[in-house]
Amino acid sequence: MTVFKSFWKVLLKYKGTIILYSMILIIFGAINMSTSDSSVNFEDSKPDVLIVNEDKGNKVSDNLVKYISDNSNIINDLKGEDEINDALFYRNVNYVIYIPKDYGKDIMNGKNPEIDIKSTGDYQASLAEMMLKRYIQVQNIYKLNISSEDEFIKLINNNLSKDASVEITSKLDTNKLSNVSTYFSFASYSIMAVIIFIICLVLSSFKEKTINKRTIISSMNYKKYNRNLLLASFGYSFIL
Amino acid sequence: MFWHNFKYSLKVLFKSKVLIFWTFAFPILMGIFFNLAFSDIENSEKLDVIDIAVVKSDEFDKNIIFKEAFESLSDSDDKLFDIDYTNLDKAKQLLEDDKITGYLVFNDDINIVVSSSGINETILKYVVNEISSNAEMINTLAANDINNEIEKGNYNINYEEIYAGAYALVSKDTAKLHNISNKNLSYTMIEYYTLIAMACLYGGILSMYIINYKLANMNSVGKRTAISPVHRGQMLVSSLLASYVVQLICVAILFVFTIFVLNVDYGDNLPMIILLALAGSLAGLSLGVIVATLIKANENAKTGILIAITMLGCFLSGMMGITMKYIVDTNVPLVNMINPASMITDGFYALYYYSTLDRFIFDIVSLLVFSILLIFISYFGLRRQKYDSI
Repeated sequence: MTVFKSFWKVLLKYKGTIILYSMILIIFGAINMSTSDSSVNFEDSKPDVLIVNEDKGNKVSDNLVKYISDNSNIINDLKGEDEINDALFYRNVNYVIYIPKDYGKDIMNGKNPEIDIKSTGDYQASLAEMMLKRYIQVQNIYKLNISSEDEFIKLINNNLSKDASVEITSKLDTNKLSNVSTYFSFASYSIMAVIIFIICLVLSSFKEKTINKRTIISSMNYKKYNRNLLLASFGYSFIL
Repeated sequence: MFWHNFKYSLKVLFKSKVLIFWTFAFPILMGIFFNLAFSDIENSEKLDVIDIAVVKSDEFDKNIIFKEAFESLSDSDDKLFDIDYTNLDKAKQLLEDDKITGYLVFNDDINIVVSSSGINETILKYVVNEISSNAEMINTLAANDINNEIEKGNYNINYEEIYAGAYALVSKDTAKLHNISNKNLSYTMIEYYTLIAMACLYGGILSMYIINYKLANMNSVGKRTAISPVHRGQMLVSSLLASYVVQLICVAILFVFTIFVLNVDYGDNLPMIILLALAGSLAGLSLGVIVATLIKANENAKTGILIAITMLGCFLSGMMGITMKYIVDTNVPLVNMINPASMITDGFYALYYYSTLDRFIFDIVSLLVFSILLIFISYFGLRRQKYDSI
């Protein structure tokens, strides 16, 4: 029991550090919780898309940009091909669409111009590609019989405005769940850090040369001594 | 004398178990853990087959367009859905058991039922919207064709043929997309590149150890060498060369291990990879020398400082979170421009991801400037050292 009690006495010396780590834990938790928005309605996932539009000012091209912008998070603060490539590699952007010069004009002339794309190949990029393909598909069908640009765009937008109703069964707030999981991902580091740090500090004080010598020559069985230390360490970890 | 000292420096370095562990074994252990943690992370991000259910009903049976669309989406080799055609209760149960992403109920409208928001759920909704808009296009095209036939005076219309033609036209994939993205997009490679950077910089422990070994104020061997009639510069250069050789052996072993065991891709340009390893190791060596020379503390404190610098550098270059390097590069690029770990990581990244060598050459030059600068400062710190009392 002497060893067990001593463990807690030494531990109390480090109450400042324990409080500091605990505060970090609580502060980060609070920040996480305060930024959570309640969401029990269905929300579309939106991929991060970058559009390089070489055909600005053309109604047909601008309508494509508008459709993609409405259904994705547009990233537009990147300049130069290297920045785009870096953003793609680090998944800051999922999908890049290069609209070529005279794209709108070519569409109205009945052509089907090729669009260059860059993709990360993940779920979000697949969703962005589905969006783009759907738009081009609708555009290619309606261009067959339409000569007026405005009517053409109106038909495309009417067709793409279809939105199926989605019912969500879970009453759990998914945003909150996600925040809780982020919080615990972070908390695991803090908890591990404070446990390892404090237990190492306390146990190393038991291993100090003079104290260790006194322990060795004491009548206490070393197994009991170790058991007490283990028990106290487990107790501390459990409480934390 | 040069080779004599070189040989004994090698012996001293190889006999230190602690040094061997940190420079040889530790990076390999880290590599194994990285592999365990990240080996499947990218595969799980790729679009996989989505399990859904469709509630059987008369409305669904009558809806030929949806029926055929879902059949084609679940039949081919690159199918998008795995569909269970079932009753409402079973569909509810499957959703509750988390065995499907959602289920579709066909009444007057189509109702999608999911358990939460997410990417699979969004794709399901998107496909349903797409089929609905296709259905509308088929109807529009067919109506136009029928009107045309009537205008031509042909009242004997083959409706089936018209609808089949419209269906074929709408179903045909006409989007012409050209994927110009780089094929090397595996971002987990950055973790292994930071590992090589760490191994290169940990080599600084070797040079620091060997410099301490020669310093009169650090140990008794240093005292004896300081009073011996040996050219000091020659002795230090031969010792550093020995530590550089050990460091290169360690980096070479790590390369072999990561390439053949962990399947890490460093690109195809082997001479440039070797050049980067040489420059990176030199940066590690110079870092060790400057810490040993300029910091007046005991060996443990110096080791602690060197490890702290290395780990901070590796953290900023993406070891503890791959996007950290990108965040630093885009927000405070100066930090990574003076961070040797980031220079090494960026060099490997440039070789792996870019087809040109501009960025790589910038990294190599940065590493050489960094190393020369540190060695130059250390040289002035080391020369003509005199001790009044040791």
